[in-house]
Amino acid sequence: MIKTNNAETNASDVILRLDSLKHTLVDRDKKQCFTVNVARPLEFYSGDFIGLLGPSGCGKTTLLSILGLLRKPADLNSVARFELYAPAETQGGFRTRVDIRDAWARNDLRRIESLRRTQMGFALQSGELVKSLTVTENIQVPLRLNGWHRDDMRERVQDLLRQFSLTRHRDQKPGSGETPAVNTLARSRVNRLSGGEYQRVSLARAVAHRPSVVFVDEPTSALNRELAHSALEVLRSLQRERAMPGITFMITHDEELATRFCNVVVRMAPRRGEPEGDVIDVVRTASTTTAANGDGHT
Amino acid sequence: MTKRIYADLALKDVFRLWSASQLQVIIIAGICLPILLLLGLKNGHVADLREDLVTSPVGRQIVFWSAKQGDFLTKEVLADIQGCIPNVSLVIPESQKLVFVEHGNSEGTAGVQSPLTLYSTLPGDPILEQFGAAIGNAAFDAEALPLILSEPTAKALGKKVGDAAAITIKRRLGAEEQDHVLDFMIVGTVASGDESGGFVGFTHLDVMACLEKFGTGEAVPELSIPAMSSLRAVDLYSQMLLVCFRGPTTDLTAKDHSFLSERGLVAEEATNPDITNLYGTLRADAAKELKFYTLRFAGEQDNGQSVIRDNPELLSRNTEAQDDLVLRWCDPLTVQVNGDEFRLVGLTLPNKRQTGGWIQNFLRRQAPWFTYEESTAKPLSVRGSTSVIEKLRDGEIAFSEKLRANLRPLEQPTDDAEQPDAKVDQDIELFEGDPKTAYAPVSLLALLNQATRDQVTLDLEGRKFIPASTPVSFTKARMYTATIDDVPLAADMLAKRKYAVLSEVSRIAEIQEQDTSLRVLVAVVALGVFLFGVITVFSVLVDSTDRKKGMIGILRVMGISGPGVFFILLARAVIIGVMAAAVCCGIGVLLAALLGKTIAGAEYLAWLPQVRVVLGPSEYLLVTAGAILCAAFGVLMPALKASRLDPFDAIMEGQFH
Repeated sequence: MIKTNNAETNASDVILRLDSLKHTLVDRDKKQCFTVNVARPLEFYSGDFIGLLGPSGCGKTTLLSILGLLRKPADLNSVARFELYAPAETQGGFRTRVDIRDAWARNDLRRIESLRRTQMGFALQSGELVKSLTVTENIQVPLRLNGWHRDDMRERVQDLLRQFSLTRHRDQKPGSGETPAVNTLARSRVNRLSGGEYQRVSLARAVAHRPSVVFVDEPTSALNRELAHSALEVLRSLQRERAMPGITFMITHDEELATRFCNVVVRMAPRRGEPEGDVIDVVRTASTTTAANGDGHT
Repeated sequence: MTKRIYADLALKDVFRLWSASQLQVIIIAGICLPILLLLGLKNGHVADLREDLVTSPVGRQIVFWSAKQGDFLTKEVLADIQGCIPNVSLVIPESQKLVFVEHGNSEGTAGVQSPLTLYSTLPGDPILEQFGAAIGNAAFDAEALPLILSEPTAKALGKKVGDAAAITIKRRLGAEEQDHVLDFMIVGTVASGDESGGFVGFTHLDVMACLEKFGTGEAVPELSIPAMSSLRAVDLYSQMLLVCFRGPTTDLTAKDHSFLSERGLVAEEATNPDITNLYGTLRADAAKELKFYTLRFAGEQDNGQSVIRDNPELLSRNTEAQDDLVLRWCDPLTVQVNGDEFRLVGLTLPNKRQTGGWIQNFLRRQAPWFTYEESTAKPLSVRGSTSVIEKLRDGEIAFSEKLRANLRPLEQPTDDAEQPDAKVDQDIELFEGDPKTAYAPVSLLALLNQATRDQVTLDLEGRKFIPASTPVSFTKARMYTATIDDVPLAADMLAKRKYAVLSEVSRIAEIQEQDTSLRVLVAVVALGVFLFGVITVFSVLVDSTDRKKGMIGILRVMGISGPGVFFILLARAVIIGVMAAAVCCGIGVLLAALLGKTIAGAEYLAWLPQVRVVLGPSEYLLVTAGAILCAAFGVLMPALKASRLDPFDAIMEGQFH
């Protein structure tokens, strides 16, 4: 059953569109294969916070890898449309359509890599921050790769550190005359971070360069509920409250979290007795604002 | 910009994850250190072998001399040699002269002269420099000429640096003798001398060249010395005239022709009436009785010139033909007198009392000719008809463009009456003087011919021809190359120029062969160690790269391309290589110092061998390059593999959910 409330959306604000997909993964070692099917068009709009729900092994991460341009669809013929509407580089306030299907068909890896670098942000389950870099440097990586100016970069990182509560100040004695506001956490290497801090740095890095699409995989696995909610709030506001809002994909098993934050819920389920997983349900709530308060579930 | 980010990531990965990097640095340094030490030991061994050759100037010295085959060493030839042979520092032509130095005797009175052997030197002469002495650049700029004395000589003469020395040079030509005193200034002393105990000194090559010129009797303008008055040019002939009576016993026989041929001479009968009547000086009937042959030299002599070296009288005496007369002969020359062309005939004949004096019987009355004695005593004389003599007396004689300015009117013509052995017999045909022909000693014509070839010049003051001043040349020289390694090639090139060569080339070649052999040995060992190193580094880096899979994955996810990942890993390897090279070179320097010296008080290190380890920039560079290459080759496959990693696989480690 697929329910979509298109009344709440505007076609001109489409960010990502995937119209049907059949992607088969082959594990040569285990001599197994698994197919992910998307039978109906998926359209996501500016500001959407999408929850991708389903039991383990139903193909959530595989679908994420396709949407995040990490993998080429195994069968491009099965894909009717695969488009991204990215902010135009020269004309502010406009988006240009990028035919991802065509880019994959041409095997234009340079274009795909460029899109991934500029339009995508990832905060995956394992995090994978660069161990040799500090918290600040890790967040700076996507900014540096996208050619941000040093001052803008510094300002952006400071902003993100503050918003994700990534601050840890040295103990100061009152009246000691020490220089205040030295963020020691920002200068820490990532191997000295707690699990929660690590996860938040990962989120900050994912959203740092203002990508059109952010993918978040099990964001709450290392965070307590309160911190998780706080981090997701920040993430959502950062994606929405900007000139050209982006969308956020969140893979989660947590129904409550999805209900609380997502205005679109995509459900996947494995086929019984077959190595296949399908998108079985796409539910769009009436209002993203109310979704934030846990209301409007359809 | 992107490359800078990649390099920054690589740099931080090495230094901030030092615990992982240090093992790789230690492995590569450990691989390179034996190679560095091997190179140092090889260099030390070769340096030991070369030591005495390098420290003594003789090592890079080549003595060469013309040995009758190589060109004489003029300024041009020396410049050519220095230009053609690579890495030549200095060439000093060797010259030695015996001069006389004035000094006080044992009683302290001045005026005693002792012989002193002067040798040539030049600024930068290594032989003198090893004793801390050197001659200045300018030989004649100072008031006195520069002189370096051997210390025993200076001591014996009671001279020291800065003292003046009066040196007498002597020359002799025939009966004429000349002495000149030159002022020298002692500019240095050297701690060596003549083994025989003779006085030895050194002066600038330019001064020695002047002394060489002085020895020939020529003028030496640099020392304000005029030419010797008895200096005269020798007249040379390319042909002669053989005159004999017609008849079986008086004409040249086949044996005579063979004899002449053996001496390179070809005799051809002259039929030209000018020759058969000696340009109008012989009677009309002389041709009936006399036969004329021209003798020419068939072979080629020095400078492409044919010159008959044989004495005409001896030639005459050794032929079977009886009473034949051989005369020195030149073809007549055309002379311009005030613009009018005259013919100048060279005619020197024996007088009646001399061998071949019979020719006098065939001369016309009042025929102009010259005796042998006149030719020597009055070389610039001329005879002819009265009208010719008048014109010659008042005119400027131009033999050629070159001699127009130099050749002045010749000697006052001798009156017919003064002619030796002039016939007064009224029955004898009278000489009919040609108004355009003048007669001169044949030697004058020979010298004029030589003057056109710049072999002689006319000395107006002495009214004689003197040998043209030729550039001073030397037969022997010392050459110094930049290093001893340049000696073999230089010696070989000199030998190809037909010079006899004396140098340490065989010893140097032997050392170079040893050096090459050791270099090959080191290269083979180094290659083996290097390959082993590459494999070790490869195995270490494969593991290290596998452990970085997650990081590589996230970098790929963030949009870094495959080549970008390859660059990061390669840059990391290069940094590790450089660090390993630094560690290796540091340890190498310490070991080189430790192995090369005995440490006082450290008896426990007595077991260490005392070996010389010589390490230079090239060795450090080589090892640095080796370390970088070792790390780069080692990382090549892992980096290639990493660059091809699927970003999704890299993150998920090959699992799918």
